[in-house]
Amino acid sequence: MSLDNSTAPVWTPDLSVSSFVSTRPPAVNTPAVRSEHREETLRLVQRYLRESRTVKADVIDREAERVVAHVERRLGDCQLVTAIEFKRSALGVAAERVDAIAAAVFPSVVPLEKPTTMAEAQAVHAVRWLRPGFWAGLATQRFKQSGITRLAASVRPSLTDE
Amino acid sequence: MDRTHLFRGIVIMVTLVATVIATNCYFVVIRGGGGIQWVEMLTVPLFALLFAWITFSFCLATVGAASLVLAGHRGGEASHQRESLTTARTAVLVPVYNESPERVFAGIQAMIQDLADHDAASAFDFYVLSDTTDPEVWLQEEVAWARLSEELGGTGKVFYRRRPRNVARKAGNIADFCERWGQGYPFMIVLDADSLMSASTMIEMVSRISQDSKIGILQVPPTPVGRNSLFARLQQFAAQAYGPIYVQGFSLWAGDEGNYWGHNAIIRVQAFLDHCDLPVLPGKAPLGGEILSHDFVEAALMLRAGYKVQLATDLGGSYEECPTTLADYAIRDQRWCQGNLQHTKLVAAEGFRALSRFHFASGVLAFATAPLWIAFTFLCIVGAAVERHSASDATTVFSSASKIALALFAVSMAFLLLPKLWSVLLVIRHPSRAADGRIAHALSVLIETVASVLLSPIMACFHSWFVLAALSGVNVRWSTQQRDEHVLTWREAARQFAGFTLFGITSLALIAWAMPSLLPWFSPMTGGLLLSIPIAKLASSVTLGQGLRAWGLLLIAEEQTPAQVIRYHQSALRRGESVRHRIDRRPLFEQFLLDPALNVLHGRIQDASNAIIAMNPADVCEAKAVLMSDGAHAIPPSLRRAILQDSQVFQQLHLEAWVR
Repeated sequence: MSLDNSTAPVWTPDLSVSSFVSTRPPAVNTPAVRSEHREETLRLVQRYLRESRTVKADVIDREAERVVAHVERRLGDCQLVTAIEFKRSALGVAAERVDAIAAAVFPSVVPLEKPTTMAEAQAVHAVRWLRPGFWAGLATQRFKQSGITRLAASVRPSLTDE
Repeated sequence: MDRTHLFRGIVIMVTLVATVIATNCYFVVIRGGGGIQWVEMLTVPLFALLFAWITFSFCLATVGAASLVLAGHRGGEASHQRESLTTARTAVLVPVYNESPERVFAGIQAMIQDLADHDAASAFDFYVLSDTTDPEVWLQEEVAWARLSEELGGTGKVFYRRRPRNVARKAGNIADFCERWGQGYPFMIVLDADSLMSASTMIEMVSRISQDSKIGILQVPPTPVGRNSLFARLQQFAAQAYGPIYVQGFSLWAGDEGNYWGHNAIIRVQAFLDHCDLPVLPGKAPLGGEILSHDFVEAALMLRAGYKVQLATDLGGSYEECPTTLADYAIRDQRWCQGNLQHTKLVAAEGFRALSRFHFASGVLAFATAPLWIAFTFLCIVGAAVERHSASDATTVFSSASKIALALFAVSMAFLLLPKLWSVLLVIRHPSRAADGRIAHALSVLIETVASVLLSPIMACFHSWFVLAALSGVNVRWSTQQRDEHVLTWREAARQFAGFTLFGITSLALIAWAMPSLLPWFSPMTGGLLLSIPIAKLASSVTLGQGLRAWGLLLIAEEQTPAQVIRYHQSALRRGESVRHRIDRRPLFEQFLLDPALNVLHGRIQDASNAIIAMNPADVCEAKAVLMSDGAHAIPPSLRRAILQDSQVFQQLHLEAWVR
């Protein structure tokens, strides 16, 4: 699938990055170090967007700059954030950006579901004449219906009979 | 009485009368050899059953051949136009399980191209229903789906869904589709991973099922095509030369109570939803539990509900691929064997139609006859040996009983071989039925007959083994069918068939000791077993298969003039081959983990498929630790599937890999 999206929608970075922020005790960064982090992160995001093949080549630098700026705003005081957390956050935003663009160009993976259920199968039972006790039961039944039992019943009526 | 019932009555009557006469003759034979031994008495019911089985098959083949001679047609692609297609959309289901994605998607592309030529692509939605468990194959499927979707543009719709848990195997896979998307389609065409169907046939199937609201399943018999090994070409030729004869006979026998073979068929979705949920068989696996061979049962359930199950013998354009080696064929048979043996519990189950019971029983006998045949042969040898050592008069060997025995043998062989002759006669009557001309066809029949005589004892041993394994409780693993051409090495052939050779030597020694005069009679059986190693090796040879093709032998129509859908399939495979040479050689798992575009692709497919399974937190920590210390390539295969199933973890690892 070509992910080169020449008609990419204009992006407003408002995506959450909280899940990528570490809870470790923050390191204190000097302005020089902060600048170094920023440069490294910017280059990383540029490479990420390039390799994603979703963002047009001529806007990659601008997009990367917006990603990093967005992360700076989100994370607030960069003195409290390590380089690796800064990168992780920026990549998270870049990945969400790539996903948003891809959503516009991807074909439908599956259509909308119309859920239903299959009618439940009937349990498997052997035919009546193969079930245990069938023939014995049949023989008993025949005996009960025979003239002998009817005769016996007439000779010796139940005590509850009128 | 309608024509089908009359035909059934005649076939049953002929089979019974012939069996009674033959069994009586057999009784004369064993009585004539100096009294009846108890061992010989045991052979009588076996003889009756085996003789009835071959007589029934012979009857179907003979009537099928006669019907084809009179009709004179050959199943071709349906020649109707798009007008016959209803406005209803039809789903085309392609269930896959660790199959080659290139081949599967090339097939889909070919069918869509063919449908587009008929201006009908918009009427069919293709669903690749994946039950794949191998992470690499799974990711290949995702790439192949994305690539095909891009290539097709707006031409056709191909959807991809992977089930995280393959509950109830293929039947469960289809049921899952029906429950999620089935309401959107009145009909579904079920294919196999290696199936191909021409557009005109698919359109005609939809047309027929739309016009007759009582048709529940319409099965189009598939023709094996596209293979080059000698073994595969023998099967392809046999299927094309004799298949129509048997299928036509079976269709006349079954009428509207036909059978379903699991693929290359169209099904009425609502009827399937209402009536075809599979029961769980009482008892434990392998004979109880989940039903493996679902197709026969689904057909029986559909018939029970009052729908028709028809066989469209007049339609061509339905293709599949066959195993290319003897061992692969046996692996497939083992799965079918256990599935069919389970049907013993359904033969006498409540509520099924008589013909469905017959289908179940014949499915069982298709495998059970092999051990019965071996037992019959063994008991005959033992009986002859006992008789030989107890008989005082040697002249009994040449008594009248021997003449009857000879006649019985000749009749049995005739019942087995005459359908092959019917094929030759059919070609003489209708030369257009043979792709290779009359002489070459007759020669091909001869080659196939010799091969089948040699292969029969090997297959009988395989089937006996499978039956015994199933009865003794050994369960079958759901293994993927080997669909690529694979030429066996001598070492592989020796490893796989040494046991058969040993069995052949033992049989030969036993016969030589017990009854040397019977050796020539048993030579086809012992010969096949003794030569099983070279036979298996030669049968897998692509060079030999193609050599015979160059000589115009074992040709099938599709090798001479392939249908358009086959041509499209071949060109799609060639394109796929050229793309494969350009792509990254690293395992796809690594590529998906590192490449942002592939990562997004996987995430979107997972989200859409509702297929996310949360990963065990301990495994997540382990995966992260390995990734950070050694890289993506070091993540153990045991964790890869779990990672891919949890798209959130997969995304986190992807970002970690980039930060690293």
